[in-house]
Formats: sequence, structure tokens, C-alpha cells
Amino acid sequence: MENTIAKEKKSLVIKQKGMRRISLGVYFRRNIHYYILLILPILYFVVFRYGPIVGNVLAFRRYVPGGSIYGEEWVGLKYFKLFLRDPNFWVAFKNTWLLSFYHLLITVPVAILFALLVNEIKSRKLRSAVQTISYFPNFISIVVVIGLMKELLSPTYGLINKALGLIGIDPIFFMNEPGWFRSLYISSEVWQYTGWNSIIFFAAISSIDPQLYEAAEVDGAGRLKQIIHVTIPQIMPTIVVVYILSLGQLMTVAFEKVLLMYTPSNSQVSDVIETFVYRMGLESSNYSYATAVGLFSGVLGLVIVIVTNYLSKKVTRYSLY
Amino acid sequence: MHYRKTLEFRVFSVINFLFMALVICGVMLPFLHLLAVSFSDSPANTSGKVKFLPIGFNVEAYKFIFQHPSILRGFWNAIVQTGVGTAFGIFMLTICAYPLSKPIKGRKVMIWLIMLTMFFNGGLIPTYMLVKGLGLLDTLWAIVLPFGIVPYFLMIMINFFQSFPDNLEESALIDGLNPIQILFRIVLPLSKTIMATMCLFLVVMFWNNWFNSLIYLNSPDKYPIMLIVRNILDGANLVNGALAGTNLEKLSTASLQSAAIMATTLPIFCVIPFVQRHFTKGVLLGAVKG
Repeated sequence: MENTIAKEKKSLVIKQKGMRRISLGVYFRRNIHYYILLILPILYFVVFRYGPIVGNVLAFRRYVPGGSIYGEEWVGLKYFKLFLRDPNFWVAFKNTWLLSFYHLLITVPVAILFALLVNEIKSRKLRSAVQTISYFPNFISIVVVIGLMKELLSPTYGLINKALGLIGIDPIFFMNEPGWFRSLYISSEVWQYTGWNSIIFFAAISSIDPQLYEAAEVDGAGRLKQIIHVTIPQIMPTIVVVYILSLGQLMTVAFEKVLLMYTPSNSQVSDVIETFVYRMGLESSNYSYATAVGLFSGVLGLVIVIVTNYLSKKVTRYSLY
Repeated sequence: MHYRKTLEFRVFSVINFLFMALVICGVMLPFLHLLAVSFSDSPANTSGKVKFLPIGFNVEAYKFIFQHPSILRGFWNAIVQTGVGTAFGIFMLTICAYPLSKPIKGRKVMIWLIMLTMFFNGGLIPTYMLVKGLGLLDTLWAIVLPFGIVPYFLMIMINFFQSFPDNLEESALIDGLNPIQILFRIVLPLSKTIMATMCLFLVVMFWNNWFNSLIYLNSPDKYPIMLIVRNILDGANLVNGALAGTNLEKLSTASLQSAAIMATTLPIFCVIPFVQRHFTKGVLLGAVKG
């Protein structure tokens, strides 16, 4: 669909060109209004998007308080060497990977499963009710989600601990126990985003040709077999694209959430690269050091996307670009 | 689609139905519990007796929230941030997406450069340094300007404008309107769906903001409500100091925290059902081409 639209649009310009080969000057005079509209957005991207990217030179330069935001003198890879030798960085690095890995492993399949099951609801009303309700948490602030967790999991009056008490389990201080941190992080992500993440899969499912199901049914496939042999292969391209997109976020776990869940007693598992950058940079004012860490993880994230996309193109023929 | 009424069909339906009931409860029950806690009497809350119905009836927590001056200021600050941010965001998205949906020269390069910033951004510290360098710290603009264009929203908008029928615009061109006039007089009035969707996304984004306020604002009297709620949940001084004057027997920390959560979340809950149909369509338009 995208392509036909693009083609039609192109014909507009070709028509313009076809009448007479127009010079660049004439072209700009004709389309000047589009470029006028773009002035502010381009300025925005130059200043607020590419400005900080250029600002990463701070990782190679020493910052002097009160001095230039781009640093005062070149120090080469000094800050990179520093953090690569910092054991706290490696703890944060490991935590980031583990958290992202579990996240990818669990949230995407859960969203797919949810979309599959919602699709199997035959009543249209019930289906849209379930969907609407499952979207709600997506729009709630992370602050509120963590507040909910604290309330429900409180060791003294939390509902969960009261329920556990009924079957004879002593109260657990979930939010403070390092062993519970990752489970809580992942399950709250599932709670908050499954409905929303399933939209794209649900759409992919509903665009599948019904004839495929009819054929499968004639061949004797039951409901489960139809899901496995028709639905899942049909939505594979969507699954691949979603995975590549989420891999782009691999180095940036939900930083705000981790920050809110952080307590000194769970710091061994809850310190991720971005909280490390936050503490080093904004709390301790080691700006250059923190910039170096941030740049390192940003570049690593970009490389991961490029490599995954390339591999996916080779192996499955599906890719992002 | 037609399924034969086999045993497998029935078992599957029942299990699926039970699962969906579980999902609905899983989402709604936590909020029901908070609502109950926010209205319950203090002793019931501290002993953890409250489940999904309030024990006693007590509006002290809400009274506290809607009377405390710094909380009220927080609401006002959030409304200003959300209003200005959403207006600015919508304006920037529109004037950026419209030209990029036309086959103009340089379009591909620009879209590629925009996409790149989705995967590689400047990072926390350089962004902070830039805002600081521009002298925006501790102003409303630090919360609004850097978030003028969210690349993901932009992609959705571009896709929407591309699917817009050409004929209308062509005839307007012939009538002598220029593209800017066409955008504001013809295209925008016909784009209410996408505008509503984008507004909702931006409103939610700015309303839920606390972290940017935390790092970019220094003076507590500029804090938005979400940052104050976060401080209340952390048991910050605001509450403990202010609680001294109120009736502690009636007001428990739990009910205060629950009421704070309810007061900030309910507005969003009220809006979503009305725009829900639009935004799923909007999201899909953008999602089709990552």
C-alpha cells in the first residue's frame, strides 16, 4: 500500500518535470513553501537532536566547571580507560544486559500470545472491551506504577503479603530484596505494556487472508493447529521487525523505572548503565566520565541494531530498512 | 470464520474466556484497591484490612491533596507544562511531517537523518549540558523545547499525510493557494483523527513527566504534580512536615499516597475511552513501516 502511494506521489513531480525539464532554481521557487515549513523543524533537529550528538566530544575532553559545555582540553581516551577499569561499571553493564535479555525474552512473546488469544474471542464487544482495558496501563506514569507496586507489595499492609500470609508465608519485603528486583521489573513491564504492544500483532493477524484458515480447516486443522501453522508464520515479518526495533533499545532499559525502583539494598542488581551515567554525571558532576559511558553504550546499541538488521535480512529476508 | 463445534473448540473457548477475565481483573483490581485505601479509615489501612471496598468513609486524603498549596501549584505547573508542550509539539510535528510527506528533493536524506536519532541520541549528559549551555535550566522551556518532535510520532504523521488524497490539494494549487495555505486551510481540518491521537500521546507524555523536571528544574515551586507524587511516594518532607498540623488519626500515609495516585491518574483514565478508536488506527499507520 505504501508503495503505490509513493508511486502516485512521484507521478506528481514527474508530471512537473515532464512538461519541461525544469532548472533547480525553478524547482525551488515552485516548492519554496515546503522548505519554509521545514526551517523550524530542521533548526530543532540541528540544535536538540544533533547538538547533543556533537556534545559527545565531551567524552574526549576535560570539563572545567563553568567552562565550555564541550570541554576545555583534549585528553584522548582517558575517560574510556577509566570506566573500563571501574568494577562498578561492569556490574551496571552486566545488569543492563541481563535485564534487557529477560525483557526481550518475555515481553514480546507475551504480547504475541495475548494478541493471538484476543483474536480468538468471537464476541466483538468482549474483544474490544478486553483491548481497551489492557491499553489503560500504557498511559499511566511510571511513578504511579511503582507507587502501585509499593502499595501492593508492602510488607506491613500490602495485599500480596496479606494473601501470602493466608497460606502461611512470612511477609517478604519485595521492593528491597535484590533477588526479587528482576522479576518485579519484568512483570510490571508485562503488566503495563502487553496490551499496547499487542496492537501491532493484532493488526497483523487481522490482515491475514481468511481463505488460509478455511483451507487449513478443510485439511483438518483444529484451532490450535491453525494458530501454529497459519497465524504464526503469517505474522513472522511483524515479529522480526518488532524484535529488531526492541534490540535498538537493548542498551537503554526503562531507566526511569529502574531509578524509581532503586534502593541501596538492591543496588547490586538494580544499577544499570543509565543509572550509572545519571549518578556519575548529574549527581557527582563527573560530566566527561559519564558522557564517555553514555557514548560507549549508545554506539554499542547502534551497532547491535545494524548487525541484527543485516542478519535478519540475510536469514529471513525481513528487515527494518 | 467458521469453526466446527468440536470439543477442542469448546475447551479452548472456556480457557480463553477465563484467561481474559484474569487479564481484566489484573488490570482493574490494583486500582480498585487503591481507591478503597484512599477512602478508608487510618487504622484499617495501617493494619492492612482494606481489600477492594473501603472500610469506613474518609475523604481526608483528598481534602489534604486539594488544599495543600504546593500540591495545588504542582497541578497548575503540570497543566501549564502539558498545555504548552502539547501545543508546541503538535505545531512542530505538523510543519515537519507535511513537507516530508511530499516528494520534495532531500526528503529521503532528511527522513534518514531523523530515523537515525531514534537509534542513536546524544545521551543524557550531552543533552543536559546543551540545555544548560542554552541557559534553559529551571525554565519551562527546558521541559518543552527538547521534546518538540518525537521521531516516532513524526513517522506516524508522515505516513498519515502520505495517505491523504492528492486531488484535493491539486485543485487547491490550481485555485492559487500555496502549500502552506493548503496545509492550514484544507489538510488540517480534515486530519482531526491524527491530531486527536497525537494530542493524546503528547498530553500523556507531558502529564506523566517527572524525570525531566527532576533534572532540569531546581526550584520546587516549579515542580509538576508527578514529581510531587513521586516525592510523596518516597515519603518526602513535604508530607511529613505538613502532616503535623492535620488529624493523624484520620489520615494514613497509605491513603494519602493512594489518593495522590488516583488524583493524577483519573484525568487520563477519563480521556482514553473517547479517543481509543482513533489512536489504534493512528499507531498502526505508523507501525506498518517501523
